Amino acid sequence: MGAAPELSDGRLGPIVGLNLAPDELAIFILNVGDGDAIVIRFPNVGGQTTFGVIDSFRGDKSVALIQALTPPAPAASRIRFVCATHPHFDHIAGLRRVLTTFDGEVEEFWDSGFRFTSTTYRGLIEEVERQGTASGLRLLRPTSGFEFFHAGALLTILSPSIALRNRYDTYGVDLNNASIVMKLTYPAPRPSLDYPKTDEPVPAAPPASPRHRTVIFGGDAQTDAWGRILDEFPHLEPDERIWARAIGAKNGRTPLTCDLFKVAHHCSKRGINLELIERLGDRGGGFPSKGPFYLVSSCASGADSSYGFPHDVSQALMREVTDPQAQAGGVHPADDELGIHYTSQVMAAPGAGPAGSLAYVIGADGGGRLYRLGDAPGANVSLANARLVQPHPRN
Amino acid sequence: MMQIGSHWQRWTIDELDEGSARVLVADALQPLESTVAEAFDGGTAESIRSAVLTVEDAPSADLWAEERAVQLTVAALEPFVKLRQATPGLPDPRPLREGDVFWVVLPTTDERSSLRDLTPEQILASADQLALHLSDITAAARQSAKLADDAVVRAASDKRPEA
Repeated sequence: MGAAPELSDGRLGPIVGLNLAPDELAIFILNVGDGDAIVIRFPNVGGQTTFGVIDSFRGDKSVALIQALTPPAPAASRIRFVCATHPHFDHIAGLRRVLTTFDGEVEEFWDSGFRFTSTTYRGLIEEVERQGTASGLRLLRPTSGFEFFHAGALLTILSPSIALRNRYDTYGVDLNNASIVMKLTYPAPRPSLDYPKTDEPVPAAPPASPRHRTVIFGGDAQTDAWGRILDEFPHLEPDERIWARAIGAKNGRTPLTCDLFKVAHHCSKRGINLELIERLGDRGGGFPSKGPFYLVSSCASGADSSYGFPHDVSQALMREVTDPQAQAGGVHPADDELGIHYTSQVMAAPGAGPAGSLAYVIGADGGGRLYRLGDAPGANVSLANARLVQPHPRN
Repeated sequence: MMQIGSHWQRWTIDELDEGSARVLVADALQPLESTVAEAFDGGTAESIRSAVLTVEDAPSADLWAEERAVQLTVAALEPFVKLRQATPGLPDPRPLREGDVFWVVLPTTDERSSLRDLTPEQILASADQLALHLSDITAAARQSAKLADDAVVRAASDKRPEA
């Protein structure tokens, strides 16, 4: 049975609290124990603060965080979307609470299209139906390729492909592979206008491109889904010509490259594989890469985990990608020094206690920083407890 | 006639992995409808099945308490697997799958015996002793999910009222 390793106190800075600038985007990956709950606070645009909710195992915790992040004028806040990646209980148990609390404020409900048989899912769908009639809540079933621009951020749906969705819904099996997988990029890159003119010399260095950060939310996707994703969003061989590199950096020649990967399926042995993690980190700097800067798993740990996640096998492969040692027989440093984090981690003595939820904050300049919030699974997040995660050697 | 309230549960196989199953258990909020109770009270397997399908197809939001998740080994769910193997016209053996739904009905009017007083492990272990009725209602549950889906698509996929 795998376990999330303790987090050394020295890897976190002092308690500084989390105060978000209006133009910052923040992603909260909540410590809810054996399940998923993610809240996105989008940058404030036109005086309006908006949120996205991806799954919620504990509705009260998601609601409390949104309320804590909401400016004093409630009318200025709307939930842009609530997404149920797939209908497993550990992802949707709290979503009805989110919908009912923000009744009339949620614009869209995103659903995988897998018509599940539990009464929890049925109750959720019935609430969407009620709000669809009463207040215009809109149901969407995004599939791969769907793009969504909001508040300066670009979301791209990577999965499910329509083929997978139809297959799984028709046969009523394999919920995990029906998961909605999405990529978020902020600030959303614009196509380059600096294309080369034929009568101009090739510059010595690529033109400066705006920085941005990308996060991929893996849902509970497994091999079938990742296979489709790799097919539909292909990793192209590097073109080392300088303009190609520059344009590729802006437009996504490697469309699955991300800075933070929310590890699929709670770090089970089927949610990820070694080459996938390598590809998610490829920035054209040579292959294989050492993976995304951050790998974040939402899972309980040890005996608290219903299925024994995080799984030893997946932990080992994440360590091997970020710090190849298998051939040499070396010893990996601690996971946090490799950028690997778990929501269920506890702090090493003497400050033993939960390391807590994670907040990844992306500035308008594309800078990213990661915080731990110190909350237990059953407790609400306190932004005042935020501690900055110190950059790891791969940053 | 039987009055079955606390004697009636709906079990959904939510997730299977690593030899373990998360099962969602919902207690009935009200007694079984009379037609269903009559079917369980000495009815044939066919009449029970027919009555179950009737109830499961209807909107059921007020019928069940909030589901609670329990973790069981797949081995502990053997009574359900046996039940499925006895279903005429279906592959045998037929393993459990995510989304399978079962009714667990305790056919007694004795209020001292309640499913709520037993853990899921105890319920399964003593299924024969308690003369439990276990009904595989997966087909009806899947059809019911499609009906609910049709309703939500009609209600929430059209233009917003103010648009």
